[in-house]
Amino acid sequence: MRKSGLNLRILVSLVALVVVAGVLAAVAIGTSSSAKTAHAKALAAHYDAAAVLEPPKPAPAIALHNYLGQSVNIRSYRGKAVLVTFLYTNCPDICPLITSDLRVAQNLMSSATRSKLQILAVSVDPRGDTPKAVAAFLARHGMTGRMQYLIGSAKELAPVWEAWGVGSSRDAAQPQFINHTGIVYGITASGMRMTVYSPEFKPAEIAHDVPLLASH
Amino acid sequence: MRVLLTVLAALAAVAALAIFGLSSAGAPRGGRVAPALPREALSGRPVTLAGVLSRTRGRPALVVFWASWCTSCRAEAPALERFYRSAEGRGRIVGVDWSDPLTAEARKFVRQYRWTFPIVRDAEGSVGNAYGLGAGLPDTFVVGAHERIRAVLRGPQTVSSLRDALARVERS
Repeated sequence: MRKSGLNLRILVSLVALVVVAGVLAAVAIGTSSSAKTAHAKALAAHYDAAAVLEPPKPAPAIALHNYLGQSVNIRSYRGKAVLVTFLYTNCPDICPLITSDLRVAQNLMSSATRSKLQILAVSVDPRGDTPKAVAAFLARHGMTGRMQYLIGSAKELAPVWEAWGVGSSRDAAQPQFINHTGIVYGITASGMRMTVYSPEFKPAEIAHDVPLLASH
Repeated sequence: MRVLLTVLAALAAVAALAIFGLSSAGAPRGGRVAPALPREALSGRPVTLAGVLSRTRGRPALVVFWASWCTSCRAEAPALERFYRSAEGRGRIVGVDWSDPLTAEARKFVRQYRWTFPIVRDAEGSVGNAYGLGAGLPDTFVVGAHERIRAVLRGPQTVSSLRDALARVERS
């Protein structure tokens, strides 16, 4: 039996809360002094993200291929804000929603702001995310040419998941589905991982934060 | 003394207006005004909220956001049509196809579930964003008099949950 949409929604909300709480806990650990805490609060106040990482740390490496076979390296996007998320094409609810919300967020931005943004999706399904499946997924969501969807073998993808702290495991009861961390990271133009968005993010939050990420 | 009484009466009138003015019978009931529906029709003719509420003679109606890629929307789809075909639901649903760029897929979805209620197309997603969609689709907005959003139903609904939501708004 499939989970109902509402149950899935509750599950995702809980996961998102745990993830964001974890991020916030990490923030708290990393900001022991009151000066740092004040700085973190001041920084967080500027962003609409669910959490702001303080101090921001260099974004882990991502060097993979897109569905067209072209190599993509996150470092090549220095100078732009980068949004990094983790998806799979057979995902029933959250991945399509994240993708659609990212598209709406892009639609809310001016063309000048959009030109300062790169979206990177990293597959969490090495077997199912074939080039054909990814091409169809991007077309379905109007994101062809508007985001990079990176695929690879389990051997290629696993180190990326690990470096980004993303869990990915096939659902034991429903093996066609993959349980994975469904959040979006905001990376500054200088390559620092700065913000975290839950899967429930509002497109306006992203549209608000992208110019800030692009200016740091 | 007369001046003092006049001042007190004026203050009392201002206080009364402040307390009762916003809840007077002619004033709109709570909830923000619903954003205008998208103009592009996916199936049926283009509709407006004013037109829908006019046909329901002021009774609240449902604005349902969905997409062909949304699994939970498929679970809800038959219930929407059943409710629309019932005496209580007739004329009281408008579907909004949200952020669903492939029109062919959206039309296929409509044909598959034999939806007969009007559906408009929010291709860029801006109308759904203005409504304030929640953590996923489907989302249903109960819109009442003066085109105000009176309730929001998150997730897939059933015939009875739709009926109950409309009845609650009508009673309130």
